[in-house]
Parts: sequence; C-alpha cells; structure tokens
Amino acid sequence: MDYITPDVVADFTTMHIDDAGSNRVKVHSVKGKPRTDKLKVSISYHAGYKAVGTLVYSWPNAVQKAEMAARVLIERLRNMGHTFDAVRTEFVGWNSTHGHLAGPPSEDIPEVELRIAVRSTQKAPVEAFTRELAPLILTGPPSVTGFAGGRPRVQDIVAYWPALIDRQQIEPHLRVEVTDA
Amino acid sequence: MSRVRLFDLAHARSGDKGDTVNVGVIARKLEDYDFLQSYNFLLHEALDGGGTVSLMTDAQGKTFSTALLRMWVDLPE
Repeated sequence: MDYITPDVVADFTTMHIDDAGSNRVKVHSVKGKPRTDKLKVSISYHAGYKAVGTLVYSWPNAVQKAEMAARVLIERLRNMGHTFDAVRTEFVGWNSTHGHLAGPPSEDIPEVELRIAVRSTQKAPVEAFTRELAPLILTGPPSVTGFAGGRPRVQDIVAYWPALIDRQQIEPHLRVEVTDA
Repeated sequence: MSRVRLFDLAHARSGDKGDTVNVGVIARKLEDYDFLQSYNFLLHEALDGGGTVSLMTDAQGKTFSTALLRMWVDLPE
C-alpha cells in the first residue's frame, strides 16, 4: 500500500503496534519508500454561483405539495428565460440522504422540507431564483412554512483543484520572527 | 431463509475525496466474516461535482454508508 506524503511513501500495512506498559503503545518498524518528485498544490478558482432555498410543507400530502411547488418554481424561472447548469430538488425527511434508495415516502408523512438548489456560471439566473421563492408561499400549495429567514443568498462557488507540481520548481523558505509582546 | 438488514451484521463508514465517495464495510463479528468479509467501494462522480460545487445536502457522502447498511440480505441456511 502506498500512502504518499510530502516526506515519504508509507506502507501502513507493515506497521507494528506493541503494548509498552500502562497507557503506552509502541508503534514501530513501518516500511516505506522514498518520497516522490512531486508536491501537491491546492488551487482554488471561481466556478460560478449557487443558491439553496428551503420550504417546509405539512400533512396532508406533504410530498405531493412540495413536488408541485418545485415544478411551479422551475417552470416560472424557465418562462422568464433563466436556465441553470444544474437544478437539484431534494425532500428532507424523505430522500435527501438515500436518494432513490429511500423508496416511496410514507403516505401519512407528517411533513417534508423541500430543498431546491441551483447552479450557474451566470449570476442573474441564480439571483432570480432567490427572488422567486417568496411568491411561491402566497401563490403555491398551502400549509407551507419555514421561510422566516428571508430569501436565500447567492453564493460564490470557490472550487478546489488539487494538482501536482515538480518538486524542483519549489524553493522552500522558512522565516521565523520573534517580536516582544 | 431469513432476511436481515445489513446493518445487523456489518459496520460501514463513508466519506468524500473530491467527487468520489469511499464506502468501507466490514462484518461486525468474526463468525460473519467468512460470509460477508470486508469491502471498500469507490463511487466515482457520485457527488454532483463534490466539495463546494455540489448542490447535494450530503455533498460529503457521509450517509452513503447507511444507505448500504439499510439493504436487506438473505442469509444462507
């Protein structure tokens, strides 16, 4: 097994752990290989915008009402000419963690939280999404609540791009400054 | 033949590395190990881009392990 670190390539399957007395263990004889000629660089870049909106629907027919609300919202935005790179609809209390493996929801489910998230490289459609959630409360399916927090905010997506760079390209410097408190 | 949930027999844990989910599962008891053994599943492109890009509630895939443990298993006689 190769576990690559900046200093060494370790093989943790070779590790020995011995009892070395009360509350002490000795870890020793771990085999390894020399470090690679690369270092990891953690690069971040701007990857567009996203927003997440939630509304809570109660019994009866909580899931059906939440599904209808989601359909109306997305269709309204489409009619306004807004398109998204991704739209994700989840129903918290039913399928937000297990997805289709959750199976059908209980017919008597007391409540469900509709969670809609959108993503776009453009800011305008994401902003429109945050404004179109509120009208749904007055003109959409009834027994809806959980909107007291106001409209969702548009978030910048700072995406992560891990990469490798030749070790020779990097000149390490260490500078320690001690100043009186 | 009896049916049990995998949860009754095994332990599992999952998490993210970028857009990939890693699900590790292992039998709880030594006597079940011959039947179940242990596995490490890698689910590529399973997190809608992963990290800050993902729109999923579970963008870290932490609950994938429990979805696996929820499955039904037919036990051999």
